[in-house]
Amino acid sequence: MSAIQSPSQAGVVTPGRPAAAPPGTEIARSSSRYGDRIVRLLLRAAAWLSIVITVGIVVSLLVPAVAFFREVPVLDFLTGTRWAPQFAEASFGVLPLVTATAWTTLIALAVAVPFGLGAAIFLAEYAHARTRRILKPVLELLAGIPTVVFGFFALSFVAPVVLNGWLDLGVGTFSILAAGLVMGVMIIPTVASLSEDAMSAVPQALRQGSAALGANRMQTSLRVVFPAAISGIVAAIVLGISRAIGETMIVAIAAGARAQIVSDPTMEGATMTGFIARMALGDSRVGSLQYDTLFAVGLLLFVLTMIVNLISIQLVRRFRQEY
Amino acid sequence: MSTHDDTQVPTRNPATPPTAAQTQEATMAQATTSNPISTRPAQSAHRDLSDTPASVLECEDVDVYYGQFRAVREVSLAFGHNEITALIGPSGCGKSTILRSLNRMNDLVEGARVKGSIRYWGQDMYADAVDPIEVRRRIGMVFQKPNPFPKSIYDNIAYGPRVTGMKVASMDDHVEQALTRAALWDEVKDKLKQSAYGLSGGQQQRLCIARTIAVEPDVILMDEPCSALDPIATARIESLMVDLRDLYTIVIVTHNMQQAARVADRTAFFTAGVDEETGDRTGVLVEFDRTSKIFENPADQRTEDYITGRFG
Repeated sequence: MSAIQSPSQAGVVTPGRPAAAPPGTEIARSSSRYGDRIVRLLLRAAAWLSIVITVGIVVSLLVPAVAFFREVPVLDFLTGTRWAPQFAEASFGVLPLVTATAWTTLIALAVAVPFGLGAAIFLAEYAHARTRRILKPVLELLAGIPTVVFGFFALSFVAPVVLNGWLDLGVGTFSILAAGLVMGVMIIPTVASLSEDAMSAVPQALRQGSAALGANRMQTSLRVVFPAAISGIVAAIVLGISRAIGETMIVAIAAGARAQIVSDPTMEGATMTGFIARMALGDSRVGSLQYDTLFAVGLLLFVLTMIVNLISIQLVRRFRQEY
Repeated sequence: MSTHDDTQVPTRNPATPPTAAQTQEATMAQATTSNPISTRPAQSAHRDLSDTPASVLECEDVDVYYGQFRAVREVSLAFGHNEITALIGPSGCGKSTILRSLNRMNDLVEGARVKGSIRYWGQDMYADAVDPIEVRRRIGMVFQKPNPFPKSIYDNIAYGPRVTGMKVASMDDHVEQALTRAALWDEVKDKLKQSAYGLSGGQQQRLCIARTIAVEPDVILMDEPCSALDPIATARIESLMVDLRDLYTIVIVTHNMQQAARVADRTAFFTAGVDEETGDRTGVLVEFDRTSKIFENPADQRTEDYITGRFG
């Protein structure tokens, strides 16, 4: 074993004096690259604009809402069970609206999650490439149907024909159930398409690894692909929840207008969005307490959606399996 | 909802490790032919080989097509019990294609089909009555790039036994045994609950080998298992292969000729034949013999050219 030599002892080749740069090798900046700077500025402006607009919306919600809460205590608003802002003896308990929103959202999810995830698993794991090429765009087309069309579908078909005719449930013209079911159908494409994207993004190598161990397709889908795609799937469901909570047209048309605590989905009821749509038609004077209720309810909607989003972020963090 | 008949599955007892032999007895019982099971003692890398090994897998006139394209043609090969067989050859010679048709992984590729016959203990692997799930449970596969599941180390190992409905007395013992056989236990025993993605590339590949061992297969197919690894990790996998040879039949595809020379008992050399008219490249088997013969005294000029580095 030879002794370790220091660089000076070893035959180190020392470089000569620096040579003059030959033509064509200059590396000094020759232009100030204005185009690059302008593009960067524009992109930065675009990013900031969305933040500024969001803040603007929150502020414009907050100002009238604060005016409202000066007149009506927050606790009375959140826990009151009678919603009658337009009556002579006005009452501002928001719970009837919240229960209606909760019911429509839950019913919509009960429809959209199983069917949406089923469709996604089929498309990502079972369907042939050709089938997927046809079905996926059709599904996404469905997401583009205007919600007012869904509203009429609920009012003119689901309530009278499906619920009363086939199932004989005896619902009225307006019902939470009809609105919720149709809202679920509306959300299926969103949940299915985004979940399918998440599952298709899972590397093929994981499916092959699973198959090579003797797993069948369903086990591979449910135990390998699904957990690996869970963060995308949760995001898809959360987007579905947000759409359900915020959906206005279907409930305005099909759920009814009577603000009452909803204990049974065959009842009619006014959701938060349904109330806002009706109230914003222009009957109330700007600056009046009635007018400010719009913003209080709007703020509540905003906060609820945000809570759903925060919970989902936590869920995704906890269950994430990175690949 | 296990897909296989429980009577065919030997009960696994963690106290008696060489259950591969039990598996073989079980499969032998239902096999149509009766190949004698040789129970060799542990052997070193260089050993005496019989001229006619008991073959676990046999290919006869196998063509593999992808759609209209014929990827390999007329391959006839036999893979000996408890031997390591290496498939070598230049890129595009169809060695991986053959490997993937040995446990029906090609089924997952749309348009892939196999002509000719591939037999597992004498049973036609592509017969209608054959369940590809059962085939893959008995013939495991390790891939080119380590592909652990995004789960904990423990769950990666336990996955196979769970999905195949294996009866395991204690999953903890079973996981330990599989990791021990794959020479990984000492490195991971304190972090079984941590993600497999925290391991190094070589450890991940040994985890994939352990995962395959955990379902107690008969044959392990390895598709260039060391191509993504550094030389030290490669050496560990190679010595692992030699250790595992006594329990399993191993087929390895490799680009590394030294690797084939170091670990394989027999070697098959493939090359790509170009069709004069269409220009399509189709893989063909050139020569199949004992590794020492292939590397020291090949019968075919093309083999000699390849192993001496004149082409490929």
